[in-house]
Parts: sequence; C-alpha cells; structure tokens
Amino acid sequence: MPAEQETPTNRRSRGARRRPDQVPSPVERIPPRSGMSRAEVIANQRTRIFAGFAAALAYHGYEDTKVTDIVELAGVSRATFYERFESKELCFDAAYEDGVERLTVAVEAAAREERGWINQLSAALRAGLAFLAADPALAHLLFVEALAAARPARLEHERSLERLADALRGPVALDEGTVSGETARMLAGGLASHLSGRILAGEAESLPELHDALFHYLLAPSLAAPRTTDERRAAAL
Amino acid sequence: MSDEPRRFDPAGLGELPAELALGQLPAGKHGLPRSFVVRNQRLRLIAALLRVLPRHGYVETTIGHLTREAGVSRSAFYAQFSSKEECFLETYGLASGWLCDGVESAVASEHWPRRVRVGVGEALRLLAANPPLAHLIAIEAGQAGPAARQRQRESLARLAEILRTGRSDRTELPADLEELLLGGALSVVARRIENDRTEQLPEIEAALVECLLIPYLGPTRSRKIAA
Repeated sequence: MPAEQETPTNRRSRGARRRPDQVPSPVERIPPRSGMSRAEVIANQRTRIFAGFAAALAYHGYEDTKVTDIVELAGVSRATFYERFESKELCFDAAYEDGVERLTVAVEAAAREERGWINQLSAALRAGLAFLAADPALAHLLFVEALAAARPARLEHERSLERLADALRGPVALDEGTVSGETARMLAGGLASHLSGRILAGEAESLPELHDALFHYLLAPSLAAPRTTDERRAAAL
Repeated sequence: MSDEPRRFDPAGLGELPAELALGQLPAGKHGLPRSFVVRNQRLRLIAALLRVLPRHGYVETTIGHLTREAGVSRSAFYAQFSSKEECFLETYGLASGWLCDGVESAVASEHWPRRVRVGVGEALRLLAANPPLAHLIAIEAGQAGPAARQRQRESLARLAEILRTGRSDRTELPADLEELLLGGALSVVARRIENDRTEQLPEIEAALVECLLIPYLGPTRSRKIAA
C-alpha cells in the first residue's frame, strides 16, 4: 500500500497537545500581481506566516509543529519563511508579540470609547474576549502555547501580565484606595490562567459569555461590599 | 499545625519504608519480590522527576534524564509509564493531593473566614519547605500539556472547596470566584518561585488572604483577618 502523503491535517502527531477537533484551515492568500508594493507583500507574508503558525499550533502543539506545517498553511515557500525568520522559535516569539500587540490595540480602542474607569474596564474586557473568540487559534497561541514554550516567550508573557496588572490598578481610588501592585498582579494572573483553561478546553468561541463573571472578579478587590453590577457601576461613577 | 512544615516524600506515600522504597536495589539476584521491585522503580522515577524538573523544565526533560537520575533502565521506565507525560501526571497527582490534604487537615477545626488565613498560610509554608514540589505545582503543571492543566484546575477547585466551607453563599458573585482568585494566587506564587524566592513564600500570606476575602467581607474586615 502506498504511503499516504503527509499534510498538516493528516500527519500523525505524537504531541500530547494535539487537538484533532481543531483542524487547521489554510490562511487566505493574496492573488499574484495584486499591485502590492514590496513592503506590503512582506507585511502580508508575515501576517500569513503568523496565522499559519497559530493554525498549526492549535492542531499539533508547539513541539510537533514543523516549519513545513507552517509554510503549507500560510501558503508561502520554505525559503520565504527562512528569509523572514531564522527559526521556528524566533518566529513564535514574533507571532506572540504581534498577537499581544493586536489584542492590546483592540482593548485600548474599546476603553477609549468609554468614560470612567469602571466602564472602560468593562468595555476593554468585552473587546478582549471578543478579539480572542474571533480567532481561537491565536487565542491558543497567546494563552496556551506561550506558557509552554521555551523561556523567552514565557518572560514575554510575564511582561504582558505586568502591563495588564498596571491597567487593572486603575487611575482612581475606589472606596478605600487603589489596588496594590501585588493584588493587581494576582488579578491579572488569575484572569490569564482562567482564560487559558477555557481556551485549552476548546471554549475560545464562547469567551464573551464570561464577561459578567470576569468583570465581577476584576472588580472584587476594588470595591468594598458585594453588590450587583449596576450598584457597582453607580458606586464607582 | 506543627512548627516544622512537613516534607513531601514520594516514598512515604507508598506502603514501604522510605529507605527501602527509594534506594537503588542491588543488581542481580537479591531475592526481593517482583512487586517490590516494580513499586520501588516507580517511586524512584517519581522522585527523580521531582529533582530533575527544576533543572531542565518539563519541555526539555528527557526520559534519559529521568532514568539516569533514578538509576533504572529505559525499559524499566517504559514498564512503568507510557510517556513522560504519564509520569508527570502521576507525580502531579501525588504532589497536589499531598498539598491539599495538608491544607485540609490544617483547617479542620477552623471556621470561615479564619479558615482561609490558616489554609493559605499552611499551603505557603508547605510549598516553601518543599521547593521541588512547589516548582512542580506552580510552574511545570502549567507547561506540561492540556491534561496537566486540567489536573491543575481540578486541584484549584478542590482547594477552593476546602477554603469556602462554612461561608454563606453569595449568589450575586460568580460561583467560581474563589477558583479564579486562587488561580491568581498561584500565578503570584509561580513568579516568586521563578525569581528564586520559594523560601520566602510565607511573606505573601497576608496579601493573598486579603485578596481572597475582600469580595466577601470588604477591605476593612479582610485586612484585619489577614494581618
């Protein structure tokens, strides 16, 4: 019997993180001679490589994802991949950074639309959850694989948590003062670990449903007594 | 609660005396029953995993590291475990079970909310006194794949259940708020361990207890109980 040719979707994976329910879909390609400048083509290739990496990761897990899987899903050549990135590891770091950047932009844009820290927090949380729900493969990369990857990515993750913690401290004193740095870091860590668990369980798409519970959670240390969401809002405004 | 925190010893979890359970057996015919040898090798591999993980991390740890550290053959490893992950999961189960048991017995005669303070304090002391166990529970379990993460969630849920006993229900708060907060506490603990401050973990007791109680008691009372 002739051996079936291996593709990213039928290759047998030894990986414990393999998610057979998440068959990767190829990344949208650009038609040739589309009138793009050289810089645009390079940017587009980067984006596609990141998306291909995320799609391959969600399926194979980090250790078992090969450059072959990435380039096939991204629709770029091996040579192009190695022109842009020295190794799978460095590509992962870049993909992580790019993903965090886009998540941050989405969250900050939503926060700017609102007035008052409480409303900004709620809007930012909603936007962040929606962003992750819209791209489960990226959510998996950011919240599952980044924790399992080699050290540089984890240090990067730690820095992301510090940024989140700073944002959670809030600009104003609520009730009896602002949240301490340690508490904010704990809130950020708890949020990331909870999201990570949900994403790992294949529930990325339903993350927006967690908004109210997570909103309560993030506010818990800032506000004195347990109240309903409306009362919390009223008290804080 | 004793003054000297207990030590986690995988051998103590078996039916065998520690020195027999973990010692390398003499090669060749020693007349020991087969079941003894098998159990001995299993526990030695578990103890080896605990020692090796802080040096290499889960991802980089190889079966070779484990068999060398344990002094058993590769085939003996595969007679015990089908994979590194399986060995990890069993070790994690023993370690987290031991930690939760320790917390549970420490809080047995305490009522909520003091229960939270005593339980968190005991957990931090047990982790501080057992650095390889702390490393396994707080750091490696997050990196050892989905099954390990699932076990970690279950352990947090068990710990939350132990700590919330006796607290009245607050339907306006999310039911899994304590798990979320404990997940946060675990990430603070992990950062301390990564910064080589495992032994100073008990220093963060008050901060963690305060965070865990604030949603239920408000800041003033929480601070009083945590202090």
